[in-house]
Amino acid sequence: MNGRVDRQGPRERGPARRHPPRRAGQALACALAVAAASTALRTSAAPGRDETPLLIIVAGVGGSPEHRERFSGWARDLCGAALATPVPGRVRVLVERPPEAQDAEDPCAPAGRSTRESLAREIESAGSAAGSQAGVALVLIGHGSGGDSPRFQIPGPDLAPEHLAAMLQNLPAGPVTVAQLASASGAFVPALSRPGRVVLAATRAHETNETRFPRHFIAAFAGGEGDRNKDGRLSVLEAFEFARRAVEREYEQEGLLQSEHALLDDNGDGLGSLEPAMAAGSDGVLAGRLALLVRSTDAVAASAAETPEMRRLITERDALAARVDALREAREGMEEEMYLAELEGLLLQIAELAERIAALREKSG
Amino acid sequence: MKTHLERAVLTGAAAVILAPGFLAPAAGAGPAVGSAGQIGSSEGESWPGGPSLAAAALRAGRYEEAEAAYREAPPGEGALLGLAETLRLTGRYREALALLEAEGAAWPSPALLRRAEIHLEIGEADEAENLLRQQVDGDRSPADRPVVEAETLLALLEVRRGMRAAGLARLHRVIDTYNRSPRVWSARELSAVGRAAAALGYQSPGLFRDALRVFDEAAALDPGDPLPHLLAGELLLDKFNTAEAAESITEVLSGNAQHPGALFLTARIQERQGVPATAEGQADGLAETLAVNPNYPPARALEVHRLLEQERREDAEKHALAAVEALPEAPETIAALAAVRFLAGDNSGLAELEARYERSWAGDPYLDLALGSAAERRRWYREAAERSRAALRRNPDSAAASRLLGLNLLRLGAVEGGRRALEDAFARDPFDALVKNTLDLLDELDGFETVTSRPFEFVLPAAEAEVLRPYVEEISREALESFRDRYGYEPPESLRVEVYDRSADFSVRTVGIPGIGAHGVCFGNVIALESPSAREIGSYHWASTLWHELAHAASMGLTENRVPRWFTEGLSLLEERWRFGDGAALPFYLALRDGRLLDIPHLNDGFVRPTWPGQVGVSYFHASLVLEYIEREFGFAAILEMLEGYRKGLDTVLVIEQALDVTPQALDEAVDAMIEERFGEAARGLAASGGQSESGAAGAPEIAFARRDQGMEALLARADAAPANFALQIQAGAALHDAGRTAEARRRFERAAELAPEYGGADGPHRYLSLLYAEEQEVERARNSLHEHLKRFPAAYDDWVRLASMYTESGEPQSAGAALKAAIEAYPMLPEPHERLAAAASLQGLFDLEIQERKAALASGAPNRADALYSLARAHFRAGDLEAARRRVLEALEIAPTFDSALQLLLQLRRQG
Repeated sequence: MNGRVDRQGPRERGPARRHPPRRAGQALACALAVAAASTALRTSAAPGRDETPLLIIVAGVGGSPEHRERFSGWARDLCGAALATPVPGRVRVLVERPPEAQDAEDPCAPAGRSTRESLAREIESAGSAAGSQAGVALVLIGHGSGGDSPRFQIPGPDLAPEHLAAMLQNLPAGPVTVAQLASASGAFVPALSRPGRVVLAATRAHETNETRFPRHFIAAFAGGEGDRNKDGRLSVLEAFEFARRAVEREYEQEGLLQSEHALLDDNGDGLGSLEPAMAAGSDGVLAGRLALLVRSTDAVAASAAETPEMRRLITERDALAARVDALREAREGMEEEMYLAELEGLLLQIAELAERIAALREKSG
Repeated sequence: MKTHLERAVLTGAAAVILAPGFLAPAAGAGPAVGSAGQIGSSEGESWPGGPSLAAAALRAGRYEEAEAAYREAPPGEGALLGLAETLRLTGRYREALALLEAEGAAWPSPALLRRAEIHLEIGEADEAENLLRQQVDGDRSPADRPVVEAETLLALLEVRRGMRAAGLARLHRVIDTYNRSPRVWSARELSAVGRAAAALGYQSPGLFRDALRVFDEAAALDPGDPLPHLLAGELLLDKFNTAEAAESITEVLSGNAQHPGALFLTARIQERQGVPATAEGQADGLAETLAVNPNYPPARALEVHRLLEQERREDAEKHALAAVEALPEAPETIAALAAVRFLAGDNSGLAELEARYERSWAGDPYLDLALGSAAERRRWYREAAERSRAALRRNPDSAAASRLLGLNLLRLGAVEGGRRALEDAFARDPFDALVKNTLDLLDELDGFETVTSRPFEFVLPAAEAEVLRPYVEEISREALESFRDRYGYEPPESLRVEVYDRSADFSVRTVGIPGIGAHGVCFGNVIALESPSAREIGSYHWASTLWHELAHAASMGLTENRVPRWFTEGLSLLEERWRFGDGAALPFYLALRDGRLLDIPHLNDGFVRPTWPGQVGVSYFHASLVLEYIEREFGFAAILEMLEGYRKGLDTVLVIEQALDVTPQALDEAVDAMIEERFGEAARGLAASGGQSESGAAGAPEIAFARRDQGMEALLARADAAPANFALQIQAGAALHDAGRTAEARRRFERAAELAPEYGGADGPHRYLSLLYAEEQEVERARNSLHEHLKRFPAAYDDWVRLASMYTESGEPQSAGAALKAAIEAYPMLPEPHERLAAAASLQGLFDLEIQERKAALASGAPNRADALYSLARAHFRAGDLEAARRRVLEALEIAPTFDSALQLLLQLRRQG
């Protein structure tokens, strides 16, 4: 209704919710500029195993049998999910107490104790993987402590942000993702942040309660729901978003005040974002590009395709998909019908290409 | 520093509002006040005990002691005024007047003023006016006369009597005089100035603040004088600023716990807060007022209104007649008797009283406001609106009348008219929190989505409309059909259903301020309820609440809003229980054990004037059992006949006698026997442990959740010692279950279920039994137990989903679908049941249902939006709606442009289209 009255009288309840004003329609040129930038933001293509990063999973000290079991269980689940894909990467698992008898064939069997030395060794030996396009992803599961000297609790001396930063410094250039899933993990963000690196924390620095985020982060690997754009690849950003929203929903359903807020930093400024996005300049661009796992052979990048024809089709498809991203960014300045017509045109082209790719795959057996 | 008051600008048609809020003492008379600070302190006076002792007794409310001391005093101004004040505060108005008349010649000015005040307090307008004019127009110098006080009282009186222009001019003169005068003003004068400012505040709202400042100055000047505190308290109370009003009143009561004016304001606060009259630790302000001053007119009136609210019509009439006999001119007593006549439909009796009122109080909307409020409390919103309009005709600037009109128009569904009236009220009084809150809420409602589907008009939070609309509509239609069949109820042209996603908004819609404890409310043709998202999952069953409120719409519609609260609540809960199920909560068993259930003729008191915490909830269940018994023993036609009796204006006793041909006592005994048979043994079993410890906090329905602080062995010992105590058996069972001692736990729960088969709580024994049976792979028993639990506690969303899974596992998709629908009726804001129901509907080819559920899943935050959009597109496609399918698949692909299945569907659509 028009004529909202600005009343100055007394209130017995809090101020009404105020929504930020919608952005006014932007100039198309500007929008297209953003869109052009976002063309480069689609999940990167890389051949074969390099499609997915080397995954190092560290389960810290449990403190109780229940927590020890939980953390090592999560580590195993995460490893299992990462390997249960058509394009599995390499996974290394460190836990507080590796079982005495291990199945040598079990790719998720712990490679050692999750001590500082073991972790340093794993990172060091990850050198070659780190130099690949997919890089290395390090996932820390366990308890954390905050305050003046934040720590991730592991057997032996605990792991401080500066220790981890020093270990990572020795890696050759290449994408690195660190997912610190313990409580108070936000304290690790400033120390680990640097260009070309994604640092993800389950909580802000001062949030010290046990976190729910890891369970949902791992669920993103295990199920297909995390792959928001259905491109067959789970990006770091998608996994982060999936878990973040699930945590929010869970607290809401239980009527509890949310005591953990996950952060993601990938622009090197050391300041994690609560809601990263694939928009130029903000946190989320690199995380959106890096795949954590590839769920479908269809999603294998063009460069990994078997024939030149297939490579050409996939390249063409991905270029069209990037144009859809660009168009979506430009939507605010467009007439609705024009937008939909353009969108449909692009999508039909992609659909036809997808059909040809599928036919070619079928033919090649 | 002196407060400089804003100069109010007069306009020709303007008139101030001088009538107070409902049941406040008539303005001009003011609260029963005293100037004990100045009484008995005149120099040169001495008598046994001395003046200071008499004054101290009066100030402290030791009225007998004060009277004795004053009577022993030698003649003097202080003694005369002190005695007169003592007599006035204790309600001996005639004696006070006679005393002042007989002995006041030596001190004519103060004596005349006191006489005028007393005449005003008891509504003798002519006498008060004459005396005040003598004061104001007398031939002595103003220095000898309390001109400011008299002038203010006269001005207020003039306005109330219909001499508005003169009264307003006089009020401005008081303020001008104050602003111009360089002299030091006395506390009483300052109080008079504050009163003038408050009266003019309706024209210049800044004066409300000035009034409070001047009252503060007066209080600082004479800390012992209760008057400025009382005037401030009354002003704040009129603005619904209860907390600050209470502070002012406490100032008075801390010095004089027997001050009738302060006690009465306490009673008003209690009325507003709905505090049980005899709640523990709470004295009844009204009873205390009348104990000190049995003739205090507003208290006599409040007593009548309370009885009316309890629907004790005969008692109300008796008290009203007695009040009018004692105080024949007081506007409050006239209005109280008028309310009795009005509610009884006695138009001639009402007209006679209106004429009497008109003779003295032609410009005062108090009577109309009192009648409007009485109508409002009976849920006669149309009549309340009519009376508000009458009040506005008497005084077009009455903010209270505009407020009453606005709120009641909103309850009638006339939103725009209601908003206009409230805007009028706000323009005159921007400090009225109730009006402000309601207008803010209306602003928020502008962002809601309105869906019209005759006769319904659904107003839903925009963000939730997609999820809620189909279910709200479906339940509403089903309820309406049911009530058409059973009651022959035909809805009005429009039934408005408002759903609020914030409890505070719902509360403001209902009572004007946040904090109401209910989930839903029915105003007749307008229903307001909380959205499921406003409460925690499992704590609120929105669909049964909507059903309950629609049942109110039927019973109120059939009786033209004359059905008493106990009957309509009992009937609504009964309807709700038939449709959704419900069990007896622990407080009901405890009330039965303690003999606290009311008899039927007084059952209404359990709703409108509860005397112990939790009584309202217990009364709901009790009333539904009464109705259940009536239907079972006398047939449903008897209920229809009772409704018809209420429509004709009969009271409960007559309705029972005529419709059921039994005495209320006989009905009561029969219902008691039924209750005893079903619940008696379980209730008595609770006595074994003594006290209310089973419930944790008094009235808490859950049992098992209260046991955590007990050691296992101690708990088991207690449970063994009280084998008939179902609460202890549940507690012991839950502890054993947690400890993994399943066989023992099972025995405890089976015993509890046997002891209290109708117990309904989140921790009902059947729930635990279903878990235990499931652990033991006894699938059939697990499922049956879950059904039993959900019959008694249908809000258990998680348990419905669990039941659905059981049916899915056993290959019974239809039963699974029914359980999922029930889960949605408990809580529709999660995607899981929608997705599962959609999948089941898809398998059965029920595409419309599938589409509905896919949309709901999408709107309730499906984890993968592209997937959810694609599924919806598929459903549209299968249902043959290709355009909708195209739109949705484009939306899916917009998020996920390489989503293969969606791309295939897009191609398929293109090739078909």
